[in-house]
Amino acid sequence: MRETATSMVSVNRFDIESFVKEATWKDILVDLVKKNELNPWEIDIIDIVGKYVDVVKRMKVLDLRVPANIILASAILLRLKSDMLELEERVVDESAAAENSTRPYIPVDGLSMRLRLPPKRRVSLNELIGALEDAMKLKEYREEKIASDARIVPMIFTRVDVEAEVETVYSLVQKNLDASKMVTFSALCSIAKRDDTLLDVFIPLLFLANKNRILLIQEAFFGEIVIALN
Amino acid sequence: MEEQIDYKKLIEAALFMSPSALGTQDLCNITGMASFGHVEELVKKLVAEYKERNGAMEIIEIDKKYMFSLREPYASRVSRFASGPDIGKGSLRILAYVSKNNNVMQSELVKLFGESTYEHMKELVEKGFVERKKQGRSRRISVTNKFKEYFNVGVQ
Repeated sequence: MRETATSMVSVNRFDIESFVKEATWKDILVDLVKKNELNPWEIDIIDIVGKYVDVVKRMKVLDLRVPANIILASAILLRLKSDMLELEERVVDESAAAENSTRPYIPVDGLSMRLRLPPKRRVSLNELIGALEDAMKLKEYREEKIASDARIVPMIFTRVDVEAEVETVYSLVQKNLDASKMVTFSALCSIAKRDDTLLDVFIPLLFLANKNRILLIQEAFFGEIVIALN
Repeated sequence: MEEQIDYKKLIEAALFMSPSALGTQDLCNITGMASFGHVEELVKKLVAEYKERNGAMEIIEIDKKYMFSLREPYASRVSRFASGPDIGKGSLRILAYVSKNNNVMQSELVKLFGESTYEHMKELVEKGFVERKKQGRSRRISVTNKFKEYFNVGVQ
């Protein structure tokens, strides 16, 4: 098995898809890098990502173990790459560099932090008095609002004698009947001359129809209402 | 070799940097000194030095805690440089009302200033300006000595 894995590395392109199918691929991968048989810097992780996407696309049965191992192998390789980076800064002899440079060497003191946080200021007595004025205004406003909410609003009702109204409209109907003993609602409204003609005529008509004293006929919705005596 | 620490200067630095007043115990912790009396002596010396200097700055004592402060008329001339007042606007309004109506019930304050009163009251209690005493289902609110010392006032 080990030989198989090594042979996959020896070829120019590292075939990660076949490689991660081996059971002990993780140990072999680290071992190969340690023994300098595999250089992580020569492996293109973007290429591996492309292969991962291809594998997932080609899959007919959902078995994520192989593609997941590709991600893990990529992560291990990335880690190995980062471990190989030289993290120590190069020390440059500034004075020597200055001698070679055309610019004059000017030594500069290191930067130091000056600590001073803007403090919170104390509240003055005048501010306290101002706040008290605000509070008293608010109190006054709330008290006025409570008083205004609690005031009694007189409701004025005018008493209407419905029976008298009904009789008035009934006599109006009787007086304005045409030859066929009928009258239209619009004709009745134009004769009635009330403040709110429609309602003042219509409601008594409904009462009269309810008592079977008249007959209301409306052939079409919102059409003319024809009133006939029963 | 590390420079010898001057504890009086360390206390001065702590008071300068601290956003709130520091008590003797705080200063003991900062200096690492166990002697409460010695730390208090050093603070008193500092207070006296600043008083003697008669500059714009002074160290004031509020409720047994110390803080840097500016003298008038300098304080009001430079207040715009401060990051803000140390009592919020809503809390200050409630504090002002309590100072005028000491021993007022919290329920009355809620009725007047709304539900945010609970939050403001928490701030005022934490900062030591008011104290609450349970009475029935509500609490009776009164101002503390710290309030009187802070504003240098008596209470009605």
